[in-house]
Amino acid sequence: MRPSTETISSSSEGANAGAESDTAVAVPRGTRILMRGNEALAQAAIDAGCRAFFGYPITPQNQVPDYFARHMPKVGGVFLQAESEVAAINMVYGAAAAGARVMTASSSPGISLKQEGISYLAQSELPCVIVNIMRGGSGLGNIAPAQADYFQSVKGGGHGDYRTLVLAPWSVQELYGLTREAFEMADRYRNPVLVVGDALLGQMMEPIVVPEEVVDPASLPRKRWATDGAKGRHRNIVNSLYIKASDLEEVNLRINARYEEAAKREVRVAEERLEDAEFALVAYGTAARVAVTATEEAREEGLRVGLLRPISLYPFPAGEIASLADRVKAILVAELSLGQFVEDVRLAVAGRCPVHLLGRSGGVVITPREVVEALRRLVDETRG
Amino acid sequence: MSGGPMYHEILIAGFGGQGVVLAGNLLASAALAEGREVVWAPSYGPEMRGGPVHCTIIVSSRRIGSPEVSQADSLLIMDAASLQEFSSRMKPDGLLVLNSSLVKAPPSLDSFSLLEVPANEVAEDLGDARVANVIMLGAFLEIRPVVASDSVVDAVRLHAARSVAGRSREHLLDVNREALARGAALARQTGLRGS
Repeated sequence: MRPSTETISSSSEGANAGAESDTAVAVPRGTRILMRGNEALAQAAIDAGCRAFFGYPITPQNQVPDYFARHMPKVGGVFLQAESEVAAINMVYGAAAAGARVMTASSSPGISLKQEGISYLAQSELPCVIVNIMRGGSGLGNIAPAQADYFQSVKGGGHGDYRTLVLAPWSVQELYGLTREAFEMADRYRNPVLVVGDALLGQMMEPIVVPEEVVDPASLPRKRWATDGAKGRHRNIVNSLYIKASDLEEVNLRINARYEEAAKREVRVAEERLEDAEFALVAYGTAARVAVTATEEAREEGLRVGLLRPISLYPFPAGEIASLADRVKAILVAELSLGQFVEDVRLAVAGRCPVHLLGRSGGVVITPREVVEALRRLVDETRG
Repeated sequence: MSGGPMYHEILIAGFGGQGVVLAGNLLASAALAEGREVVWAPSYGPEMRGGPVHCTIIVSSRRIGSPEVSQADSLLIMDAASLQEFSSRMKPDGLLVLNSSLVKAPPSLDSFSLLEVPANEVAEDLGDARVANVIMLGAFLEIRPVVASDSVVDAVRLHAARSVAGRSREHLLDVNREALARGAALARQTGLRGS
């Protein structure tokens, strides 16, 4: 679609900050460029046909609203900095109800503030994409990389009987690809989709290829349930209030059936060197990047180790992890939190093999060395 | 330099305004242009002009796993506070490039190699105090050519094309090319201390 009107900020800092608007260049497509994670995911939303972003500033995701502020107007979209996170998520509700592809982004404390709105979106069967560039918590915490919002992300987050579909990229390229994918999933399941990164993924620059093909919002099928003007048709109602228990249960069963459908169709995992592995690492996002380096180092030391990386956190790849547990002697989970993700791994493993945890918290990133040392301990214990 | 297998972790640190982030950007852009894998990560937070700032760059011939640099192969230090802060973030046999205009070399060298570069003085000599960062880069690349210095010049050209127009763009290109060359010459003349 009109790449000539879309521009790239040249990855923000340094030589070019501030002067971009005069010398804007089209985002180069089909070729390797350097892009920040936060900028890549924002470009992905635009390329997915998203023309509405509502947000409120918070580090370490501020390049997201910054990018939209500059680029949304050029594609005829809406960027709005709301007065609060709560306001932003409710604007998302409004745009989603009207049938638009819509996004908000924040970081951990801001995502907590949005939870009421996310619950309402889910109950009202509204598609939207929410990005959480996680930082150290709890409370105000800090702005360093963390994965401590795992429970909040995959177990519902707000009140009620719902889930968000959750995707966890591990690179700038995947931040782009999975954010685009998230819009398709949101529409397919009429449900909020959460993309979780962390401070490191959002801030860092990596080579990425932005594809040529983009979604023209005008080409998207009309959402028959949307409140986009009832002239000549029966009026649609978007609501989350069902006074009668049996009515609400019926809606919840319908929503639940979609989660079951998603569990069949949307589970995504990636594997590294598991073919002959005696021991397995299980990790997602940045922790998986650390784990893949550790896998290589451990292999050099003669340990037969592989990595299983969930890309979809909900639906959770329980089947894949269960079958892994049948093949290996033990599993080591590496996460940037103190034992959240490991709970789902243990549920999936269901006692088939020992599951150990290496967790760091508060914004401390695990080093490959720590992982290798934990692996060695695991091997020693298992061989007993 | 492109082509051969390599993996190099670099940490650049100084105070806001010294061009630490830009120096990292230039390295990353040069590495990209040479077909390398690269990860650039900034320090972030309540940054300000004059406040501490650093960034890390990993340049590799193969896929990069962990994006976090815990023990850098090379440390480029622009000021005294940064030496204090980051001397522990270097491999024992790493390379320390020190802006000797602002930092005294540590008395104990342990096992690492030291390259002292009076970057501020040379920059003033070139008539543009802003290029101290690129002088450091030039010196570093002379010892550890993780990217070709020509690729850095190309990266400067790209950045300049986006940020400034007309004659000042030409000046930027010239002075940065000169800064790289002076840094490299200094590295050749003074050589390394330590192992």
